[in-house]
Amino acid sequence: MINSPLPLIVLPLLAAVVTFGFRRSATLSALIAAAIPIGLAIFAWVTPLDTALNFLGRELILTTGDRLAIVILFLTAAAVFLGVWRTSPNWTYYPIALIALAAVVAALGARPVNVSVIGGRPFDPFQYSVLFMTIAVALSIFPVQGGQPGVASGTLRYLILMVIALPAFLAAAWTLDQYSQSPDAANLAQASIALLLLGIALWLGIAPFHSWLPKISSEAPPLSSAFVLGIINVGAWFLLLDMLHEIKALGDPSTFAVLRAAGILTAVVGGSLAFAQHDFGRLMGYAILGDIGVALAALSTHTDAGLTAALIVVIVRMLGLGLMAIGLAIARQKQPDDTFESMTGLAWRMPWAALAIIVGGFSLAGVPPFAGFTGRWAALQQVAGTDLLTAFALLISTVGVAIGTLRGLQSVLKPIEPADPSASRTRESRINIALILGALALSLIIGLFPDVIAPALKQMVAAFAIK
Amino acid sequence: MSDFLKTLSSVPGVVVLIALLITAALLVMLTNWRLLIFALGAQYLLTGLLLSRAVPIELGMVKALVGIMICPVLYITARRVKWGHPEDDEIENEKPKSRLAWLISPGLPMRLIIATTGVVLSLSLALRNPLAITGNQAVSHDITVGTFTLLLLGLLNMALNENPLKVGLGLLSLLTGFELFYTVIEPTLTIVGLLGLTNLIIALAIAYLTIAWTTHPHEVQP
Repeated sequence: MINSPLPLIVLPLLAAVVTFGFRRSATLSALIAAAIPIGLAIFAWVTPLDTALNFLGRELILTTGDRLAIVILFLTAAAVFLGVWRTSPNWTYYPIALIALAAVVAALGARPVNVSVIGGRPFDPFQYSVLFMTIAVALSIFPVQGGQPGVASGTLRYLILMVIALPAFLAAAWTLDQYSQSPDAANLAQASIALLLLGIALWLGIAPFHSWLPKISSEAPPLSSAFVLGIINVGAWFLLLDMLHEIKALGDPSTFAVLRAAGILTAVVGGSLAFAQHDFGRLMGYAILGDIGVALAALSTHTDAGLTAALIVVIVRMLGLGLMAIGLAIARQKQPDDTFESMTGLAWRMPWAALAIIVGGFSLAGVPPFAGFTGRWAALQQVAGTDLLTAFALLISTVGVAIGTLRGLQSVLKPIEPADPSASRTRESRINIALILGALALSLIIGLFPDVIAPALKQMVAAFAIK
Repeated sequence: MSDFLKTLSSVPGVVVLIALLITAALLVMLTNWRLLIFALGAQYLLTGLLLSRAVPIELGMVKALVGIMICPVLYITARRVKWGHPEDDEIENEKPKSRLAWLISPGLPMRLIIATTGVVLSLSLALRNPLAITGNQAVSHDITVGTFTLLLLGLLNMALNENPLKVGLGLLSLLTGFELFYTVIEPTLTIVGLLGLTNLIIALAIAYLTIAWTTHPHEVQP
């Protein structure tokens, strides 16, 4: 049992109960909430976790790819929890986010290793994963709304689009089941591919289903946005990779043609709209949208190198997103909103927050020498030689986000009059400064020496290789 | 509950189906929160009843029970936010509304047309594309009609409103429609239980968003 994924699901749930018990002590809750995911990330890193456990009539097992994905998700969650500690007084965050985290792990763990004859059924569908993921999404509504009066539209859009994906996935599982019993029925294969792609598009926030992304990024507390975009959305990415790896019908060239078109559209929409923003929150949302487009475009090449590039884009996104979110969370303690106007002179009042926002923005844009550049460069290398249109879309995505960040930088660096009452420098929390420095150092290390993540990437690519 | 459902299962299938279509249409037409929650509760009960013709009665009962748990959550929420009405001091100067006006709110004719169109469209779709999901053709037909209607009217409800309660009812209606079909093809208790849990958490999220939305009624939606 210890070598199965069960501890990775049960311990966050127990931690949720404990943090609820210690809700009056923010420090203790935060430390427990952060320590458990760090401990579990180390456990998942060193333990193979390849022992299947029969749980509720279902095999719980983790492939190498999912295990490494969970390590990344746990480390991101720990960083988010530490960031929340000094920026948000909301005690409900930890218990609910920990339960949502457990649901994401369950979604990745409740999967078969191979699609084969199980229990007399020729196809083993993925209903459990989809249901656990939807539970995680519904739970994340609480931290995303964050108790803000009158603010509900972005969160509502997010809930609707994510939940509508549930019927699409479950119907796809059924049509795939039917297809496996009648392999000559091409219409069933097409219907299942269409339903799966619709579900994937809704979950990942691919254009034109992206309207919740900028809304949430500007409305929600920044670290709650980071939870959704860095854990729920990235968890959905790994489920997509699982599906592409396991479901043979998805290996059809038409799937990759659709992914390519969706990638181009999403990258262009993300980049061009990021360029026009006047709000760091919305800029972050569109930068992530561009990032999703770039990863999809890389994945659509249907090669191991393309898969590697897509994985780098998705993984290093955490650093840029984390930096920007922690910077915005610190800044929002004193600013009414994330608009460039409100952030005028931030570099003189909250230098660490300003540094985090700008470096995070540049990293999301893929500007060297930050981590984001590694993924963008790898993706561009895959498409530049053969597909000029996709290469051009990737460039638009990078340039749009970079210019948007530069426009924000102009406001952030604007000098403020010493007589202005808001000119005095605000003391920033040491924990937050440490988090910013850690993420910044990691971003620079990965940006300058991308080989440091190569061993883990190789394992993931081998595990997620698309047949 | 089981005895109650067994007694109700003697009601002819067509009557249950018609009642289900009416509740789905009412969810689109009405704006009064009390009536909406009542209609949702009736919809869950009728769905359970329709399901019990195709799957073991226990599974139908689980569906009805989930609805019975969801409706009080939404009822308490709606009551807490004064049924979505503005603060008392803001309506002091308004003329008192008649009982009929309380029931039929502005825009009713338009919503009636939309709901009727939705029902007709879903009936047409269901009759053209019958899903052969059970051995009994009549039951398959009823479930197909119910599924298509709840899906389409749920989508309409979500598209036409910005009020989280109404949108949420549309979302729950859509899920109920899908579950009507899915429970027949996948009658596993674990899956049905997980779907029920998902519905409950979604209902809690809707309740939370409704409270947040009504806390500041002057929110400007772009």
